[in-house]
Amino acid sequence: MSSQDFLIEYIEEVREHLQELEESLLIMERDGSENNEINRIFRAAHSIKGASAYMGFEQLAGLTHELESFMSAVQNDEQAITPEVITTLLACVDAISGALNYLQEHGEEPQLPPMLLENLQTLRSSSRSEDLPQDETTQSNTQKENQGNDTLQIDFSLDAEIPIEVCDQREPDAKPPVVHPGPNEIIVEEDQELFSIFLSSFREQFAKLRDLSRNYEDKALPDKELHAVLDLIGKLLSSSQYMDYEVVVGHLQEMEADILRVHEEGGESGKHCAAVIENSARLFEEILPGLNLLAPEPVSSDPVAIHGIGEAIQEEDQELLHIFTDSFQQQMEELFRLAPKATDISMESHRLERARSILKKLSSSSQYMGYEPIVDILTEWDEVLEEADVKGVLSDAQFLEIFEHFRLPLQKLLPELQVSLIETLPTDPQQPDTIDSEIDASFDRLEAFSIPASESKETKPTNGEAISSESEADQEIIPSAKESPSIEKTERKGRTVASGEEAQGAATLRVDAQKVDQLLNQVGELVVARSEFIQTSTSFREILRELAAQGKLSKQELRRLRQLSFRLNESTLSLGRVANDLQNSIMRVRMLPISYLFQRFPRVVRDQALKLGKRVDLIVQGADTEIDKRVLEQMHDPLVQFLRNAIAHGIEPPDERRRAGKTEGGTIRLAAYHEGDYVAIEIEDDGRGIDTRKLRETLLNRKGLSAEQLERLTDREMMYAIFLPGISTHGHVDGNAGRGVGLDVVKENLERMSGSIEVESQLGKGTRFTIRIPLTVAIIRALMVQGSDQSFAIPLSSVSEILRFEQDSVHTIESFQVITLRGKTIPLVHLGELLRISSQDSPSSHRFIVIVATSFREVGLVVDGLMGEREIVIKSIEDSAYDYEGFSGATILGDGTVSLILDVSALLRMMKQSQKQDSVEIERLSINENTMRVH
Amino acid sequence: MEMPSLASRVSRAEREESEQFKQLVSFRIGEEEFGVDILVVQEIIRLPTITPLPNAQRFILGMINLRGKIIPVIDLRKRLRISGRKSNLNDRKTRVLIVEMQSSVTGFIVDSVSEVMRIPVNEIEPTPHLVVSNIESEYIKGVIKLPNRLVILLDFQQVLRPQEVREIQNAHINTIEGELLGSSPGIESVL
Repeated sequence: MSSQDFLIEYIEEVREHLQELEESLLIMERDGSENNEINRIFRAAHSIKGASAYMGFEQLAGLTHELESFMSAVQNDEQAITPEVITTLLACVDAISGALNYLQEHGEEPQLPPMLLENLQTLRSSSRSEDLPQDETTQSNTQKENQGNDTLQIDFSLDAEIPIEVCDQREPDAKPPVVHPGPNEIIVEEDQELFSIFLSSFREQFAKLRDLSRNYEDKALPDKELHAVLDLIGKLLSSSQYMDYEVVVGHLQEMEADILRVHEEGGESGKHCAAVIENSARLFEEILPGLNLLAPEPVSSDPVAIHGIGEAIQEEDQELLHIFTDSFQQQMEELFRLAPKATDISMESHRLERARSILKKLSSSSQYMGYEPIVDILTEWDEVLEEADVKGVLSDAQFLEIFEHFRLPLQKLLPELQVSLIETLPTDPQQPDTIDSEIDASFDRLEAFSIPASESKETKPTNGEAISSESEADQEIIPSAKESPSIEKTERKGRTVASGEEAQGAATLRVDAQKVDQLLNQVGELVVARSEFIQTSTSFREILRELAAQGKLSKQELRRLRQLSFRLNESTLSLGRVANDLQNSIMRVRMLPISYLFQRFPRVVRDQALKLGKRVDLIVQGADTEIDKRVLEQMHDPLVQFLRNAIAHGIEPPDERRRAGKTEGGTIRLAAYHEGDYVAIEIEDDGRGIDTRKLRETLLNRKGLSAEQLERLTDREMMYAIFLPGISTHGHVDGNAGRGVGLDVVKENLERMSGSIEVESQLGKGTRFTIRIPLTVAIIRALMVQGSDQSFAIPLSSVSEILRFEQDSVHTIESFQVITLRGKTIPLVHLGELLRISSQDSPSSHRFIVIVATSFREVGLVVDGLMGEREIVIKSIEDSAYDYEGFSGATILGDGTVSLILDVSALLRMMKQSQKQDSVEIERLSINENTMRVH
Repeated sequence: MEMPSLASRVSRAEREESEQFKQLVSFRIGEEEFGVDILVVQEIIRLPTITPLPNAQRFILGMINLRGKIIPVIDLRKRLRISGRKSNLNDRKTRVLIVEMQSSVTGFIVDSVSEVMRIPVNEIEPTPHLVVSNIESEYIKGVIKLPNRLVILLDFQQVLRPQEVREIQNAHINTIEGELLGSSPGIESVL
């Protein structure tokens, strides 16, 4: 790693800490000095200091050292928190932030204003400084050294945080309550999450144990294996000790002793071992509710039952049948792997979806082969799963039960099907790894984002090496009992917060956003290539059918081609699957919680409110709502604008609020939540609301609208006038807001992102803006339409309805075509005319009216044909020299040709221009609909 | 015109430029022969499927898919307002010059590409005051007189120059805005 890389990482890290610092400072300002926040600030400052010192940035280290000392004074109640203190500390944050920017540009540390240090020192002059963190670092170092080798993993992953967590020790650390059970008592754990993590890892270790012993059922256990067994027991022991489950520990110790005993007795020790383990398993199941050690292994490896029962499928073409069975088998195995253990844990919806998609795939291949009975069974199976999905409860165990239920009839139909799945399950080390299962495993790894890691592990062959490497990984989850108490606490604390999945992914990776974008682009290519592939495969099949119908090919030739077609079909499906998964995964990588954005706002609000002499509280809700990074970035400015606006115009000054009988401090609520493929963001204030009467006056005076025109507008419609340029209800212009510049720009920007705005307001009560933006901007669903003989894409987000074009329902009002839809009059525009492309007189039976809507207005776009919905990758046009009005981008279709994406808002503008000459009529038309036009 | 030879020559061209040589790609539109600095030519391709761009200036023929990138294609004949017959898009000799300049990639349709020339810089004569072949002199960097022929060195920076294009568009927009004075494109959709 070059020093440049270090620098970037340093800057990123410090920025994060600064963010935290700022947040805590603001909380402290609001709620007074709280221990939690003081600790957070202290830790953040300490981390910055450490990193800066490491990088050799003396000034930054010095300043943060001072900050840290200051906080420790606060901690010891030697220093009170006053607004002055907060301001000084915030100034420090700003200075460090500025220094970071400088660092990023110039690569060297800037001179920090010495005033800051002095300020801090004066503030603290009375307090005596303590150098706590130094001690702690050394302390934790010694702790690290005390740990054995087997805890290396934890050690590594927690390294950075040790000093931080140690600070926390000062706080009374609330241990999760543990009931100490008597002998054979059932263990009750209050922390369910922790318990389930414990259980699942227990289960996993135990399964390994059983597998190990089973492999040597009829011979003596070799020393190496014995070692592995003892190792596993050791792990079980340490995790049970960690949980304080004395009963379990006792049993495990007994088990260990028993195994050692039988081993020493020699002979078929493997068998005895297995017996011991089986016995213990039963015992543990009693003690630990929900463990289910014995139930699973849903394997009927009875080879006798497989052959020749029932009327098997007859296929002349044995080779084709073989191919089919082969692929069927693979799919079944995958299906089975979805629930490797019969636990009570309910299946997550994505696993269920996966299962159902596999079933559909199986069913489509069977259909291809014309095996109706199989299709029927699969359909029924799918229905059962669907039902379970709807009900929302399906445990792994039930899933396997269903699996068994349907497997048997399938097996009767397909005798070749090797349903002795155990052979292909990777738990058997003798099974050679086929390429196919490797591919499957890699699919699973792709999904490892969402599937708990224990499952993807299942797909790996567990030979000796794998076990040892996994055992290391397992250490991350189950810390050994030998660990120092501080680590244990850290772990425990971390675990109560994080689910098992998060604990696994605790190590994050910083990746340049550009690289992810590039990846996304390439995936876009892949998606295009996939549809190309599908088209090719379909046309191949059609040609084959044609040839077969002509009867020119010999039977054998035909058969070979059919096989080829079948394989092509299969691999196309696989390709589609990988492409989809990959796309989803990458989209997920780009998704960030909106808190990345929201966390910057408390400061914005504070500064703005302070400047205007108002008191404003910011309430943030739904900060963990995830949204595409690119959208996130683009949302910053609009949201700041709304917040500023709310503070400047919405929230009244304290005395005015008092008079109105409100609390002196205003409240702004910032909330985010998912709504289908959209994220909705609400900005709500409890201020004075929008005064529509004032707005009317402004419009009358400044925009020169006639009173008559204005009268036609309802108050609700009136409110949208705040989005007009140059409109402000604010009496005077100042530096904050009120210039009337802003909301119009904001609205346009949002619409460019396919977003929309709604505004609701009640005079004297407050205003609420609701912004809706698509989750992602890179890949959208679009409606493909035909205009003349060219195809265009319309973002589905702006399509509100599609109607068949019927000449009878079209009325002409003063030379304009309109339709009436549920009482609303909607003007029609022909796409061909709009784009000034020669309108080909397509039969009107093919024509459709696509109702496109921007936030406030609907227009019926008459298109010459519909080509259906599809997912498209938005590409920008690689050229900045020209404007491409009316098109928000382009996309590449399956056949490699380019299709343009219509920009609906611009389209409507263009429509206005193209109908300019008849604008008088339009105006009248619009007025009829309570809308208006301005000249 | 093969890609590899082009690419390998580019690096040499870079070296030779300091030695007062310039490498040019020469191409024809109608009777005229033009040259363009090889360094701005990313590649030369046969005419792919073009998706027309409605409402665009008439010299923009549309969009093409260049290995996943979407770039506009311009009919250089129309752009330079060269009179004479229309560009024949079905001619087997027709080529698209992919020009990369100022972070934008654009394709230019030419009748044919002839050769790569190596010309000493001092043989490039500044644009004569008289207009060459009715082409506006601002697009011309210079001319090269060879035995029996004249190669016009085009200035693609000017050909591509966005300001000029904007001017054309602005002229259009201004008239519209003049009529909409005091209003904005937003209001109709707002109210």
